[in-house]
Amino acid sequence: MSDKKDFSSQLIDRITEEDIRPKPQWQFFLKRGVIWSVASAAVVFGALSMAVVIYMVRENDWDLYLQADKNLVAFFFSTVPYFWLVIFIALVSLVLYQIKHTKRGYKHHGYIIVLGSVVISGLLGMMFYAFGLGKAIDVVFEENVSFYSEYVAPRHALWARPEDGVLAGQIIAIESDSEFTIITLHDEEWTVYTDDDVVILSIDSIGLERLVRMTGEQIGDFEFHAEHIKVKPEGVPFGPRGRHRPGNAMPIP
Amino acid sequence: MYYNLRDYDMDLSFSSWIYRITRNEAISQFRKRKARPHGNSVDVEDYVIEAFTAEFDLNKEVDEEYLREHIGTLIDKMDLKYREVLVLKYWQDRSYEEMSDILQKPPGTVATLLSRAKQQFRKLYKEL
Repeated sequence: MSDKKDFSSQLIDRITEEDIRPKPQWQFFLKRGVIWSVASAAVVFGALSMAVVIYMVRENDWDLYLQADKNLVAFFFSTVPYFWLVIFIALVSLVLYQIKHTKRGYKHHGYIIVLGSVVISGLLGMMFYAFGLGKAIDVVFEENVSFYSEYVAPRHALWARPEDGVLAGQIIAIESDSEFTIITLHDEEWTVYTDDDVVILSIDSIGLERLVRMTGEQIGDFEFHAEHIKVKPEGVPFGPRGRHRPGNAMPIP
Repeated sequence: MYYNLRDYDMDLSFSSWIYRITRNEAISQFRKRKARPHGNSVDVEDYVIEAFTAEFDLNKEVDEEYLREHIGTLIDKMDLKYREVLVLKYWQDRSYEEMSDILQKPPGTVATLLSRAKQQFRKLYKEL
């Protein structure tokens, strides 16, 4: 008992002598504020990356690819937006780390926090996608970030295989109702022929400088017979660094 | 502790808060010194032995004395994470909620740890 008393007295003496004071409360508020702000920002950025994932998956033109009777599983795995998924997972992990460091974070199981974060980011992501943010981010990255452009190149390359009956490009000339010329991802000029049976799988119609994805058959050197055509919405970049887009019809050498 | 006094969460019991800080500080000191806590330094009071005898369905007359003699060795042999919950439960008589606050783990995880700790203790007791 006496030892305890001595220890208490020693402590009090030291606190008094060295004028030791507790840390001010604002420092704890600030720390908590930073933790919650980072967690909230991670949820929002996660939602933005989810918006891009949704956009990229939807932009795949599954319906058109299905017409070509190709291997959808291989198509799926070669077009999964891994880059954005990795970013999304990293952000969800950051949310988990931050929430676990809040005052009551330890009370919740990790999987509950992860699930909550995925659901909130997913719902917000859908909203952002509906507002066109997924497309906007993809376009900005593709036009300005070279490594990103290279990363998405295989997605475009999938549509540059005329020998397999799939072709995409930008229309640079319309010769007649059944013939037009496109420039492809590889800067090749191809003449595209259509007949009365051609199916246009989009609201937009064929026009100069529009981007098209097609299925059909290669009928000669740089000649393609299109059976299904999808005209891409305006403002969608195509090719490395989005060099083929309306208003930028000529390929960069 | 005194430095962090203004961070005290009024929803926690003061003893849990102090216990948590002391525990974290002890772990951090052990890490700094690259040491591992070892050796039995816990006092074995009668209520601890009684709690163990009741919990593990041991024979009061035969096992109690034996347990009193060997409980230190047994506890020392246990994994730290299991040892910790057993000490909190039987020595400190903490509730699940308090253990959750001290260990900073969800109450469900504390319950699982305690159940595994009991299994390990039972196994070690049989092996002894």
